Amino acid sequence: MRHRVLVVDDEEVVLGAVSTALRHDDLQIETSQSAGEALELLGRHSYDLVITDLMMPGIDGLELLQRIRDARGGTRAIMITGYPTIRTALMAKRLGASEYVTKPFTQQELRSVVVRVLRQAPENTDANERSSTPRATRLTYQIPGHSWLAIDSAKVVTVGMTAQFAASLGVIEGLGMPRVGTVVEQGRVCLTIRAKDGIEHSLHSPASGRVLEVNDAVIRDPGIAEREPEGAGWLLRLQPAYLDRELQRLMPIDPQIP
Amino acid sequence: MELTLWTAVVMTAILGGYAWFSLRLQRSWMLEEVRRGLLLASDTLNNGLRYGMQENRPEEILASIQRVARETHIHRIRIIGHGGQHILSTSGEEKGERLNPGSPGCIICHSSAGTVTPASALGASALTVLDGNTLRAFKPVPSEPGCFTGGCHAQDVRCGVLGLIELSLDLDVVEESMARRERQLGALALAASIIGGCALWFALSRRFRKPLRELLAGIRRISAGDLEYRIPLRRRDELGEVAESFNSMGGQLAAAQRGLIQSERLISMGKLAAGVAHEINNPLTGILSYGEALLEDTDPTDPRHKGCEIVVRESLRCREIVRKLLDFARQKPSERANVRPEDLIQRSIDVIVRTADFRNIRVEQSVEEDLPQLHVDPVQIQQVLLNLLVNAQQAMPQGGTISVQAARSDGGRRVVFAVKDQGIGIPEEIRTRVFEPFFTTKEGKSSGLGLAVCLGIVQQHGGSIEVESGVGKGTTFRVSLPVAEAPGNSAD
Repeated sequence: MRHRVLVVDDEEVVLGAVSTALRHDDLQIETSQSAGEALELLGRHSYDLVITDLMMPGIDGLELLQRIRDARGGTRAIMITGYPTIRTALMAKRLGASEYVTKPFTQQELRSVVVRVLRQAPENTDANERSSTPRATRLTYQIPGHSWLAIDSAKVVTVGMTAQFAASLGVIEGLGMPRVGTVVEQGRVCLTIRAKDGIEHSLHSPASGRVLEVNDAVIRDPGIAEREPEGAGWLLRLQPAYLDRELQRLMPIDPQIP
Repeated sequence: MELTLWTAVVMTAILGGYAWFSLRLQRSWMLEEVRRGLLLASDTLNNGLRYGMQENRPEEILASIQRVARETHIHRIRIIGHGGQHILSTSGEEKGERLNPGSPGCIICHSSAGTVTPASALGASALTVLDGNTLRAFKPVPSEPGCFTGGCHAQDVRCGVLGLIELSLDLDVVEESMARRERQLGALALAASIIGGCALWFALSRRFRKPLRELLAGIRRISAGDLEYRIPLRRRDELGEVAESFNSMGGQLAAAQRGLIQSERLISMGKLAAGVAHEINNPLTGILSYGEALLEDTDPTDPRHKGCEIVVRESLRCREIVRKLLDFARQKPSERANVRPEDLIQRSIDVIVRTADFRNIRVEQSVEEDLPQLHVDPVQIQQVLLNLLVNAQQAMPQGGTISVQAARSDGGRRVVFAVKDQGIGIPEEIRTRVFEPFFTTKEGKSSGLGLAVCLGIVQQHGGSIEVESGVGKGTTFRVSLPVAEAPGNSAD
């Protein structure tokens, strides 16, 4: 079944760029240059995915998300943003966006997110967060449905991808890890994951800091990350820079009580 | 100039006043002298004429008094009888006239109240009177036994006084002498004023006027915006101190202005860059996406394929620049803690020292003992040090030694980090520009934001960053940061 996708952006060139990037995927793409028109279309038709710009005149992207969620649960959404800040990303996520993509994007970057989001079950987002986020084994903080961090000590945190994220990747073939010593930032791409279908996915870091260690076991056997993404399949150890402040922007997940 | 003028005026006034009072005093002294001289002359005359009078030889007496008058400038000598009648006079014309009963000569014995002082009580009494411009001395002539033997004063025996000798001195002579003295003293005072004034002007000018003018010129230049101007005044006195303080103030102002200009430029460029970056995002999205699509659709043997590759590659490069710009423009709130300077250095070195670029680089550390802690954002300051280390390495592509130092400065109120390389150095003409955003000598390899970011971070911490370099001699970057207010716990 062809997924029906609605792309919303006030600039035609971006609409064209999105359509072009996704032209080889089996998608039925429609475009709209305003949130008002998009809402009209959403009222008349059923879409599997809405890709919307954040900054638009009139009704902006966040408001559009809000209205989509209020009107009809289960429509998945991807936010396109020029400012890749965790704050807008998290806001978007709370309002029902599954993921966000930073402009300007490569075909690969957009396609990987679209593919991943469409693989996720089209459930009500609120419930989605609860049901499809497997309970962690220890207290973690998450970018919901994306990445997690666990506090080992005041100076070390462990970072990995959530089970939901891992499930949407398919078979993992390899990992593009950062070098030890480099600095990563919260909400920015910290590593890439290559899936067997050839799509390279980006993981946004849940915290800022310096990379202390990468999980060599996962590099040798990426299957570990696929099977135990919230345990032995951890990806990085960071020396966090602004942990107290950054934790406030993440969602705490209680440890699973056996 | 005004000071000198006023000093000269005051000096002239003092000298003039001194001359005036001195003249007045001299006049009164002189008058007293003249008076005494006149009285003495009247006494002398009285004694000298006694013999002539007793012998009653009026011609001889007249000749005597005429000689005396000639020799002493006394313009008139008269001999007056007891009844006031003129007996002899050097001027001659008043013969036969009488003195009034109230005349000064009479009241020596005959007071206005009618009492009479007897001759025995008179002694050497004489009287001088200033009558207009004439000083007159009256000397009573007492009677003696010889006076009655002749026929002259037989009738005057009942009274002890036979008459008066009157000497009149015209004070014009004195006045003339005084006027001469006044002229001399006035000329002297004027000369003293002129000479003193000139000397004073010269001394003041050498000592104050010139340095004050230089100070004034300096103040004018600085207020006109030339903050680098230094007053060339080397003195050990207060003026030297003023000049030194002034120079130091100028230096501080210039430094503050440089900092202000730098940070303002950073802020405004950051804002501009963020705005531009944001506007560029959408067109760049189109270029990148369609470029990638064209690249996919053209056969690798097609000459257009190469062009498409370039479009995609350069779009990605633009994207990187835009992202760096946005990072740069984003005001990152810092999270500060008390940290030890040596830890900041050690951690920064640890991060890079094992990387490939540092294979041929030796990093030397020299950290002063017991340095005070700094209250800084350790991540940001490490970023600054890392950036300086990487720059130092890039200046020595053939390898070499980087020296990293930390030491107290400003009396222990600051810590200065120095990162020194043995590289190619920075030419003077671009040394002041290295902190400008987008300024780079590594075209294509650097965004030109590294040092601008460093400057932004250091300024946010209340610090400063300086560069010292000579072509072929290497470059030293110095970062000065204020120490933590009170000793606290380390971030570790």
